[in-house]
Amino acid sequence: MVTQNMKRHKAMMTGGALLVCLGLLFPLFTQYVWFDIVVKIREAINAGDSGHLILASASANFLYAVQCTMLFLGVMLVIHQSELKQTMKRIEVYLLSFSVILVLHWLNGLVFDLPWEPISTIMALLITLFLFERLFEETYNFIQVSIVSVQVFFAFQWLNIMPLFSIYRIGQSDISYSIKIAGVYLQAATVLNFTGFAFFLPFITSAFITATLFMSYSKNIHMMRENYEKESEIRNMRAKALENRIYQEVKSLVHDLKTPLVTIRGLNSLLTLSNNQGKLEEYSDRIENSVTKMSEMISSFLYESSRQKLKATDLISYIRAQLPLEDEKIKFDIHIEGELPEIYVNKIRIARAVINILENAIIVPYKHPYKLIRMDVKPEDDKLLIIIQDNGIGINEADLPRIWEVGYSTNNTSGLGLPFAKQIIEDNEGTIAVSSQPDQGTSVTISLPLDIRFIEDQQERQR
Amino acid sequence: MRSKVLRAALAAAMLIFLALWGLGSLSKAGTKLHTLPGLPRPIAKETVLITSAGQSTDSYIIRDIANQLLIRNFFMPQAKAADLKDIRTLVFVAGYSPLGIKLHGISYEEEKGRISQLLEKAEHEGLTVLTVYIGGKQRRGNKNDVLIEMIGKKTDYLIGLREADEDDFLGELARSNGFPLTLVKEINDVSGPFASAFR
Repeated sequence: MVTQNMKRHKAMMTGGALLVCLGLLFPLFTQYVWFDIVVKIREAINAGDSGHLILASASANFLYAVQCTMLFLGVMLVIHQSELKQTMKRIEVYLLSFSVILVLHWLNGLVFDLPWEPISTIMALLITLFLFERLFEETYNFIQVSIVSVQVFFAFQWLNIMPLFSIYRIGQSDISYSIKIAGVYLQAATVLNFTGFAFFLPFITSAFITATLFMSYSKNIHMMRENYEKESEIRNMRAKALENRIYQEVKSLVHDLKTPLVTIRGLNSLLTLSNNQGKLEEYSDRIENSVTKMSEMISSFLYESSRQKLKATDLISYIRAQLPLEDEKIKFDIHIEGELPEIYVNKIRIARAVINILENAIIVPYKHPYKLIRMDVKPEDDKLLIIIQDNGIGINEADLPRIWEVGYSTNNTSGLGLPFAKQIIEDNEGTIAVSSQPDQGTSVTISLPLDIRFIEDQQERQR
Repeated sequence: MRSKVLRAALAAAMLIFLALWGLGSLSKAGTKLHTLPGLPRPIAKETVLITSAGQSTDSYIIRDIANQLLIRNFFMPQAKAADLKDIRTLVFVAGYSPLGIKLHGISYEEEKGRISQLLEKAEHEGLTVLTVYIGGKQRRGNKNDVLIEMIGKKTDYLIGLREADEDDFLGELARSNGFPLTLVKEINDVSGPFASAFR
């Protein structure tokens, strides 16, 4: 990272030095354009047409503006990427930049014997530095700075061709003064003054507006980035919270594994005492069943996507056996409607999901003399419906859309149970829906997919 | 936001103030010096060769004025001594332009040499030498002043802008070389004294 930054700094400094060189040699590259401007002034005098003077002014001002921008950006790049910025105060950096740019302009005039416009250049430079200080500190974008700078320099060059400002020593250079002399001779001084203002005011206004727009755009981008980072952090936190939940579920599985283990140990101690061949076979079968159950439980948890065909009654029995119901004030009713079909789900995980829902129903506060939890299980079309209803205080309608958010809870719980249950049910191609009325209770409807063969049998029977 | 608007308004007000001050100063500029309206009797004859001393575009203005006054003239910004054949008056339009010099592919020293040769030939041939300087004070500078001094030594009449003589450079030149001097307020006022040299 440090090496990359150093490379970037070096590249920027080289770019800056190149820009300065280009700026200094600019009059050489554009010599023929300058000659063309002289020719335009001559044409204006010959034809008595001040339009040629305005064209000549536009060309000259554009060339000046480009050269000024190149020198300005070059110097700013070099100084801002050098170590000077770290060792000097901000005001000193800007004073140094200002001085270096002026010296370069003066040297350029000296080397190429081209007079330059010190006053308009200094004014433009002060404005550009002011905008640079605000814009660059905000956006750190040299392209945007160059767009603003070229507008400022271009705007101020138009003051040079205005005879009105001649007494302030503005527009003393060869071209500017030739344009003004020709303009006065052609009695077009007012035209030049008006044209100067007509270009200066819009361009300087545009420079300020552009700089403001760039700054606000950059602020917006900055805010959006911050928001995105915050959202990412929240997402990561939620993911970690869900992982913790899964860890808790693994712990409960480990706890559940103790039941068949205890059975195996008990039967094993009986094996040593029994001489009855029939009993031995029975114990052996029961040990085998316990081992199979353990294996199923472990597989279900190890392989999240693994699903098995199983009887819905087995799932309900498993859930019932896992449910901690020690409070006498809680009345738990299970209603099974008709013959339950076979379903195709991950038994252990779905059981944990349903248990989470039931646990929510158990802990929810209630205003009735006792807590009633009713679990209806019934087949419907190609699904098995498990409807869990309680007579708790319910959930406000406004809170309902948020109950699936990780960390959201109306009962001072972790707020992980429902999102966890939803994720498991949806992983098993099921659905879950919650409806609630304050003080009446909450109803959670879980639908689970049936085993496909059961559906085919059902369709066969209907025919 | 309010402070930004105030700052912008302040800047605009300053700009307008400077502009108005400029207008006021311009109107005062012409009242400082008394100027001769022109020569009492003509000193120059046609045909005229108009050339530049410094290659500024100002020479094109004088050519235009001469044409408007119907003075028969040849306009050769880079005239050489050989071009003075059949010429009776030589008009120098002084004004040093670095770009003009470069455009013609010559150096300042070469330009000085050309002017010197023209002056020598003109003196030898007994031609009248007129000098016009419409560059004002802003075109003034070492190189420009050297050219005017060179021509001033051999010139018979000089027409210049008042604002160019705030330091009495032209006045002193006229006094020391004994030629008449007309200073005009604006470029368009050059026509009168220029015509007075011929008619």
